Amino acid sequence: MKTKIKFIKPGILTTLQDYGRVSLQDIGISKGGAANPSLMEIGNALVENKDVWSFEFILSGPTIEILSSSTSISITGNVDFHLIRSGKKEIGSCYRTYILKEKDQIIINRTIDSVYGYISFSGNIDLDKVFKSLSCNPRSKIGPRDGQKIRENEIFEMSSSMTDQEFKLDRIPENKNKNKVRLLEGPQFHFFENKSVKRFFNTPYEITTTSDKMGMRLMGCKIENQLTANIKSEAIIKGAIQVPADGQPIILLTDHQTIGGYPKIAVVASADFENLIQLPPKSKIEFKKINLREAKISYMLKQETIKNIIKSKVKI
Amino acid sequence: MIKNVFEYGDQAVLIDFGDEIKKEINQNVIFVFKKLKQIISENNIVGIENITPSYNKLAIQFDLGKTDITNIFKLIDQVKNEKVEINFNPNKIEIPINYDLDFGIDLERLSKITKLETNEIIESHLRTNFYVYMLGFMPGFPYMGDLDPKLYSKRLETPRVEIAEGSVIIVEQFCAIYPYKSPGGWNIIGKTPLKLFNQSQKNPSLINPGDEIIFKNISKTEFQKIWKKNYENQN
Repeated sequence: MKTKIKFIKPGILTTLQDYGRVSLQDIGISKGGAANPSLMEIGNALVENKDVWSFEFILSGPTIEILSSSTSISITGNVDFHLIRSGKKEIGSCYRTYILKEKDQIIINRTIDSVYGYISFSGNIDLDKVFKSLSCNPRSKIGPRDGQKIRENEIFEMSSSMTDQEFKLDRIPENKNKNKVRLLEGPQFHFFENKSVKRFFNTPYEITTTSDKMGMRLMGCKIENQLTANIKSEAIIKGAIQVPADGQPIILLTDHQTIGGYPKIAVVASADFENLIQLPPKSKIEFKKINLREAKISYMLKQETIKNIIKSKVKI
Repeated sequence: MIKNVFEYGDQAVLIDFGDEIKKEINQNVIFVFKKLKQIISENNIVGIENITPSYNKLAIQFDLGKTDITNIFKLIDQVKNEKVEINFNPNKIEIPINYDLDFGIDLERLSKITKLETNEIIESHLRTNFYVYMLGFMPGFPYMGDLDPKLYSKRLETPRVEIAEGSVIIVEQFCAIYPYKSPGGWNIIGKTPLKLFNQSQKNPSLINPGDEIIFKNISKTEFQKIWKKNYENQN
């Protein structure tokens, strides 16, 4: 028996995601995938999926109805949502599973002080992967259903889970110092004037409203370039901070372009990338420079924390 | 061949092959790119996510949870002293193009800028053996060079909001083709009926880095025939 679900409301920008697709950047496709993969991973651990995939929503989420059969779901992130179970409306809690049956609904209102949230269903979705991934990128049209965002009344089918056990986590992810972002020197760090570099690390920058999953535009002290504002286009990576001629930095995010011709002052330490991408427009960020050794240690610590969170899963 | 290798964040390195946009430099980039891919697949090396060539650089992205920078440097050492085989049988592709003025909408403007007849622009474009430096900007978008310096043109001051897929475009010493509809500021000289990118195919991109491209002039009738076959039959 398959579980069938319907998106009664699609939300602003809800997409299907997994860890993205690799080995294609040389033909113009970046890895993409979930903006906050740890939340997706935790959500999938809760619904006991081996193959990790989720629906990712942004700011205002979808309303989903279970059309047939039953399923176990979890919502991860900082999300305000309701459930309708057996006709009764209740407030939902993140980081736990719920068993939902036919006609039950998940009403996701919004993400709180954050951008991305995840809803995970137990089982596999009935869609063919594109280049070994379910991730959708509406802009480049890569992914199942041409990578498009979820549309109103769209229906998905998935293999049902037999479980009737609900789980919760004893530990949940915390975001301490989420506005402090650690950086490594970028490949063109020396292009920038000393005074500007100092200001870059000592004054806060504001995230502008023109930011999306491709890039985050910042506003703050102008960064003066002492060499040139154009370089021979070279590969872009997630977290690279480029500075165009106007001196206002742009951080390239998960769905970044594959190559780019602006000099890069810095790169976000991987340990802090997920914190950064969750900051809503108008948030202020402060940067701190660290070295490769520190970056590696903080990344390992972060991965360890995620593992421990997943290990804290208990039956309800 | 390799001038420098430096860290690029905590999960990538960037290999520098020299400063200029030159075929000889890019051929070294492509050689190392192909060699690395070969070593990785033959030895089942894990943790490498993307290897991305550009004009004069090669980026290697890795997963810090599966490997680390020491292993990447070791991998680069393996190819560092390889003798570059420039003649590694480049893939040669012929691209049909129609230059009628309803497709080549910038030809007349280019004729004024370059002080060449439109026919001379077309002939020069057809004579050029193009080399694919890299792909980027969007899936399957090839950066090809080099045009005759006489055809030099700049980007439009105000980019167009939408350019049709298949449009063949030029700017500076480069020529490119739009795989999809897109906004853009390059000068449009013609249109190809070939589909450049198809995500349902195993090798989705018709053109790949290091390929050699030559254009072939076709009539509108031939264009329509090939276009129909490529775009209408497979929805």
